[in-house]
Amino acid sequence: MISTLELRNFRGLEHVKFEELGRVNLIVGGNNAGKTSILEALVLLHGNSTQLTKLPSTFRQEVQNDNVVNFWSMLPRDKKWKGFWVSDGALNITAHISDKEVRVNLENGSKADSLFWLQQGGKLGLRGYGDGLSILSTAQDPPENISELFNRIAPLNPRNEDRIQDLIRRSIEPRLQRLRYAKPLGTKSHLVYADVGEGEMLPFTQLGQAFSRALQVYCEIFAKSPKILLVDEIENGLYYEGLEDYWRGLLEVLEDQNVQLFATTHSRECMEAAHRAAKTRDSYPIRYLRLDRRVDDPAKIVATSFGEEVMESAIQFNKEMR
Amino acid sequence: MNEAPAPGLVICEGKEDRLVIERLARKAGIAANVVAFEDYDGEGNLRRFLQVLKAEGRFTSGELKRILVTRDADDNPAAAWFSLSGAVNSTFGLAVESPGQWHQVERGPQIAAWLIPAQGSAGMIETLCMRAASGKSQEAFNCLDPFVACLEGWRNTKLHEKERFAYWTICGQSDDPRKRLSLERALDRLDIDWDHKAFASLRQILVEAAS
Repeated sequence: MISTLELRNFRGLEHVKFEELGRVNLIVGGNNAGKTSILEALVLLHGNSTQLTKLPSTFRQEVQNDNVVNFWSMLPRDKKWKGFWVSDGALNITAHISDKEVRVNLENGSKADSLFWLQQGGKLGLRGYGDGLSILSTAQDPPENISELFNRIAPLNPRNEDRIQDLIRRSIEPRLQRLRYAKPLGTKSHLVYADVGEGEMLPFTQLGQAFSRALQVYCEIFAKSPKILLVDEIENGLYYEGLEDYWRGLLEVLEDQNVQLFATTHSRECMEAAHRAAKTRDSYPIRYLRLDRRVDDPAKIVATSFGEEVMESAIQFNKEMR
Repeated sequence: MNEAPAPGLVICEGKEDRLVIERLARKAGIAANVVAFEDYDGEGNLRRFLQVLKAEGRFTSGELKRILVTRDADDNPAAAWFSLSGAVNSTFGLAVESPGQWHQVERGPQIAAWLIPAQGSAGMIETLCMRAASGKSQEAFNCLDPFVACLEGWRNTKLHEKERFAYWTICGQSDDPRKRLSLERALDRLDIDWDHKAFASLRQILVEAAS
């Protein structure tokens, strides 16, 4: 597991360092405080080639191909430096960006690679150094992709298939009896269908955003066995009353599958539900990482982190910790 | 549009302390948008309250400029000061040695600690209120003190200052029995001289918290 994360001159972050990271790292902070930047830094460190090449539009949905140049050339906070540095203590990435041709050179120890973008839009792919990273942005993956992941789990690992059903039943849909990967007559694609006791099985897409999101998260973990999972706005689609059960199941799976989670959230209810669920574990697994802009110097962002004791006290004193 | 949070913060031991100290501050002309008041619900919670405060966005973003941490001296001012300064120093990495001294937290606000009624004296905020009693409220002690003495004889023990204060505030409540007793109502009706010299040092440190 990563235990530290340090960024210099990266997007809006002049210098940010988080020490004592946990199995679960909930990233909070105001709008435009740099939460997504933390996820992007982790992609740089641990992403594969495809994830790096897609990075401009992974968490920033508005980035189109023409703006990819802007994405890479805008990564250094202080443009005079024309580069940035990110490190998790074991891996370091130093990037040098030249804006005549927007060449991003990434160096990691003895490895080096570059992304070359002509102003007209020609490009080379970027070779990533990492593997074992899964990413869930706010955009839902196509249902066919989620279903395909489920199909990778189910035939060979019926226990994991049962596990996913149980997790979703406990936290999202108590009527769920079973999930099946199928392509009924007349349909175009294979999808996961759910038996919720309504006579016929329903495509999971008809069962609400929370169901889809939970299925996606668990399929990602069980099918790909990532070492690190990034989730942007983890509370999306989840009703507040089910959050604690959702977190209980997720914490259980993250621990026994040995996955480290970095997730952003805007939701106080999500933080508090995660805390209540975490208290039931043998060892409290969550660190809260917060980014704040200084009011006296809005260009400066400050990083703070806290754990169980502060979160417990914050709830007792009814304090806003987002 | 949300109002900007107050740059000053006064932290009080309990809800009653907060009500009285905030009332004193407002009477001294300190506006709500300049200093906010919160309480930590008992001296046993102070350290945890400060640890949460240090992790809050209003602290790390620099919104808070001055923080005054108060508690009652109770019967042992030395022990109370040791506890108060210890909590402040260990949380913020300061070396607060005397009450009312403002210390700068690195990249943070200025912080001071204050014992009530004043350094070296036993007592609490209730002590100051009763010293500052005037008019009919002062006359109420003519009735209250014999009553207290009688109770003490009956219980064979001295009444705590807070109990004496509670009985005194009952005197200042509405004469409408349907209305519930409350300290807020009492503060509205009791003749407390908010400019009394008993409040002088506390008033001064509150003005500093607002500056």
